[in-house]
Amino acid sequence: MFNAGYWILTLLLTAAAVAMLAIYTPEEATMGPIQKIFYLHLPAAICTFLACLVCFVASIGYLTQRRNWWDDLAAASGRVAVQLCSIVLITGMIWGRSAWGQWWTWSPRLTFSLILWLLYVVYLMIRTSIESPQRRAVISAVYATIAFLDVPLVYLSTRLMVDIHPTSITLAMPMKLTLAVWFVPIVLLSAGLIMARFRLYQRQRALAPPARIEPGHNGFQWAAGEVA
Amino acid sequence: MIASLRQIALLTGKDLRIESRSRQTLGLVSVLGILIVAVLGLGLGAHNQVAAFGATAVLWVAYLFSGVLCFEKTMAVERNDGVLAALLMAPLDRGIIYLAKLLSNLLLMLAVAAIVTPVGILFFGFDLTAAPLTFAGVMSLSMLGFAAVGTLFAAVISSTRLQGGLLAMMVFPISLPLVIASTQMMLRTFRDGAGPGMTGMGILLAFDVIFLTVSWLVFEWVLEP
Amino acid sequence: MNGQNYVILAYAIGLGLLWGYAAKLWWEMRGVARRQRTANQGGQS
Repeated sequence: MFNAGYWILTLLLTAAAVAMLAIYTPEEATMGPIQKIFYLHLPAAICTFLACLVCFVASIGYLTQRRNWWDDLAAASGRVAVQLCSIVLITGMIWGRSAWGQWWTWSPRLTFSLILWLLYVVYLMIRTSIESPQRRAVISAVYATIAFLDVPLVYLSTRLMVDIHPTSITLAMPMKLTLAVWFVPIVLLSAGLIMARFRLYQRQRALAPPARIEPGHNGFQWAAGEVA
Repeated sequence: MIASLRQIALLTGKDLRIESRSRQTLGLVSVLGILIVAVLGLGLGAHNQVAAFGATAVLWVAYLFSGVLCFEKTMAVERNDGVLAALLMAPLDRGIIYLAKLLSNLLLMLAVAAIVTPVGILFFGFDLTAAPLTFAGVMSLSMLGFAAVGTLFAAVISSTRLQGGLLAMMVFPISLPLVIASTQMMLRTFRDGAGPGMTGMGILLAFDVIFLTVSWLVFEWVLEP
Repeated sequence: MNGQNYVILAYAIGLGLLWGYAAKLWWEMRGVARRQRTANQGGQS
């Protein structure tokens, strides 16, 4: 499924979406050309959330079943989540710079994007900080579980903050169409990247040297799922 | 139920007894908190320049850093002399170990707060007379959520050969809703003169309930000797 | 730097990040596949 054909299709759809944006999509009356960032910003935001969800499910999967591929899936989706969130953050900042002259404001939306980004960047940092593969998998799985459950709370708490520039966009039909069109390549890209990274982890694991008793355990081994 | 409470009391009592003999953790953590408040006071230009609702910001920075140190040290106690291995072999529900650790951490943090908060008020001249109970309530609820997550993470990473700052890195972003909610509630209370607000309280309570429960459940799966 | 240019910048960064990562993964996958082929052939290339 995720072979060359998939990627060629995604590339073509991306090109088509860009063309549509340049030629067909009208500018929004009040906001001008900068509003067109929205067609990348929103799909990226949705996909960020989906990637975080996959990471959550994979982490719980690892904690309950202790199978390595759960860990690989969590790592892959965490990676892609950070990239997508970076895009959300950067496009949000560019929008703010163009529309209101400031690169940064502590508005609820930008703050939420920032905290989400920080949450999952820390996830990646945890993974690079721990050498033992087993401890790394467990610790990052626990963190990812807590982090995902934190997201709604982050959302609610940022909503307490004052919104200086509330943006409510009413979309005309051509704009809704453009948005729908843009969702497709972004979703395909996100899913494809997660699967590709996952496959890469699996292949790297197959090539790695066989597991040995890890130092520090002193022969005390917990079998998968066993809880004394 | 009673048996569980007694077990928790036993374990927490053990921790506090060890602490009372050396007073090491409390001393270190409090001094760190005071130092942080001093640095912030010097950096921000202190007296009368930071309004009452700024109290949460200053104190949060102090609590976050000193709290992380506190959690690391209470878990480190278990590593000495194979105490943790012994605990795990006892017929104890793992959740009990978590709750006991949480209680120890909470009591220590409350003691630290009792020391550091007056220092902060002194250095910055915060005027909390408008709603002192609101302030205390908000900070206590926040402390509970912070300790709930911090205890779990400290336990999970305690067996690893650590990169420094790992626990801080993990706990800080998770705790941000607490910081935001308490800061916004303090703004409402002290700058705008309204109460703390139901939404903010709701967020704090939800945080505490969710993460206490989840940490208690997850603890079962993650502790290794 | 007007609105139009900001839009172009945003899309360039966004699509660049995603497709750049795709290219990087493709490159690494090739490297792994080559190592796998060598391993299967018992170290003889």
